[in-house]
Amino acid sequence: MRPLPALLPTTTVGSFPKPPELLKARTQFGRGKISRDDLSALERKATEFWIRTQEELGIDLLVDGEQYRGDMVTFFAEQTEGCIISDLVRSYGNRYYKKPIVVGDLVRTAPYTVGWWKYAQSLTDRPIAGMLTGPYTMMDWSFNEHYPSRGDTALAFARLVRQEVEDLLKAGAKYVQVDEPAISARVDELDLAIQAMHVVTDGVLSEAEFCTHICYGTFEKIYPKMLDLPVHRIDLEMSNSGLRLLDKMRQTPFTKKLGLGVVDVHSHVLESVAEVVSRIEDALTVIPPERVYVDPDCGLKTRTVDEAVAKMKVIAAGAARVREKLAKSASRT
Amino acid sequence: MKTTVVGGYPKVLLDQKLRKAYHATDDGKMTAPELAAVQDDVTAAAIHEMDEAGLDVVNDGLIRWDDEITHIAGKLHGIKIGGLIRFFDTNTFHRRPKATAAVEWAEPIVAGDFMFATGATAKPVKAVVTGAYSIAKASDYEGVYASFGHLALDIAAALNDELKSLVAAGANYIHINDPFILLDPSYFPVFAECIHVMLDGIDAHTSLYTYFGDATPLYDKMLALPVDALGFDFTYSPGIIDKLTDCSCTKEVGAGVFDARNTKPEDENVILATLARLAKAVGGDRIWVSPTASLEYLPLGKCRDKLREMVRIVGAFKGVQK
Repeated sequence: MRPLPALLPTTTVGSFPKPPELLKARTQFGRGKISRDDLSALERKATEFWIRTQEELGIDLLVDGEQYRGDMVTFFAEQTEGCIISDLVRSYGNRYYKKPIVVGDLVRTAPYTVGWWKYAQSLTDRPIAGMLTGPYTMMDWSFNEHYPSRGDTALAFARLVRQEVEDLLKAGAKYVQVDEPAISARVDELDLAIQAMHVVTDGVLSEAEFCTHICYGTFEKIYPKMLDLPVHRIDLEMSNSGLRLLDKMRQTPFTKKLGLGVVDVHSHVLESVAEVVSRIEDALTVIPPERVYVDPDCGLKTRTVDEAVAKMKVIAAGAARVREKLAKSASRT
Repeated sequence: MKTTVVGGYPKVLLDQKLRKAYHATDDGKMTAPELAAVQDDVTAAAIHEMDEAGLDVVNDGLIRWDDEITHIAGKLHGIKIGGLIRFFDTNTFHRRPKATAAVEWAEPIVAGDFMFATGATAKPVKAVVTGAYSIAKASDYEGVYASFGHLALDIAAALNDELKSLVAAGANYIHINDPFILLDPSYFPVFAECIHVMLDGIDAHTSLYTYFGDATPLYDKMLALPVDALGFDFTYSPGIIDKLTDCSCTKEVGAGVFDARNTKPEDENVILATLARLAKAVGGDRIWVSPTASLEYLPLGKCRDKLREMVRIVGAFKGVQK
């Protein structure tokens, strides 16, 4: 497997937009007009497209692009015994998701993602990150009609995520991302989120690099406590929030690897390479380059295919330019 | 005892007609007037559903609102709309307003929506606005205002103009959603001043609702605010029932006892016991029973179930009282 560069490896957060033919096929599948096999073939084709695209753009740590998922919570819930899927609930603007309802004891009846991870990894010599939704977010973004408390629900999800992690590790995954975008929403529950992550990663941290992605919340209120999350890397939406967290990191050192979001995934506007370079260099005033991964603020699935490719292109170019500058600077000294 | 709602209604009515219209508009296949006509259709459908559920006082379902902040803020002079930010502890987001100049009221914002709603039902209609404090707290003010408080008071003055336009349009019920004060109660003096400025000279029944936080510590101070009714989210304010029943409550009470954040049906006996305690302490005719917050946090089917149950249980309570 190709190793990551020592400085400023590039990656993405998980999801990519689905090509129009896949979107159409998902609608047709929902109406019973095409078979599961027909849909799966298109999902595999789209997955390969995104693997090739990431390779061509020079991304270092790849993702499978989640072409087979509707929503990051619903995807796992619909495969989990004890969950039912309700109707649409709005997230923002015109975006909706089918919010799960926990109605019984939660049971993982089969691996959720391992087959897709194996398929994606078979397509490339670059590492593919296993991509899971974290237990706190699964709990927070589901209705609960069964467990007596939010804590009980989160820990029940944590046990399922742990089972999936163990299967990903057995399959050979060396990078595992456990997304927790909800973690910054309730400061009073940060200890619960940390406890749940311990269930997921305790005893296996030496077997892979674990990352958690957090976005669109009040980072300043959970920092530095969020550094207690038992993972190696924390990936943060930094550009949408104006890199404001860097000030906090100057006061209290960021002790983990940082996934540095350098492009806004909810804007059609394409950042320039110079902007990306500037954001990376701002971060490097606080964290050394061997601990910074460069990526978008969040999953790119809300962009068009062209927009997502263009955003990745400036990320790769920006990281490469900073690496060159660092190399020149090192050679002078 | 009356039943009502606090905020929005799910927008996916009429087989997601509005959602499809937004997509068509984005794709350049629908004009602004055509989109407005769809918004009218869906608004009328939401009002019809609230009507049919048996609510005593309805609103327009806030169908045209993108979120609780930008629908008002984006139409004020001196504010631009920026990047996404999470709304409280929900999995919903709003765009962050940014002050770019001194904020002023430019034209009616929701008065037209209110007039449309009154034409769609025989029931009394509440006009809903988000409070100045919450809009300011959700906004960036740096570079234009010296402090958050200065921005909040300018927004309050602008909303006073808006409320006057609503009263002129016939609004008898003004409903203010202002939850952000629960995030940092130390700002209560600014919050109180905003409420005073917003309601100066407003001749209507006024109610102030908070949610997604514990209002109990602020309850005593809230009693001094110039509003007719105070509305509370009982799921986040478990101690509020004791305050309301132990202390003399000089206001009407908005009892948000039906959880708008969970699909689980309420326990009828718990609701009946809560209503009995409130009725004894406050007076049954001074209680407004409602969901805790906007119904947009529920799937449409579950929203319908909650409203029907709310009306049924309140009806059962009234029956026992008689």
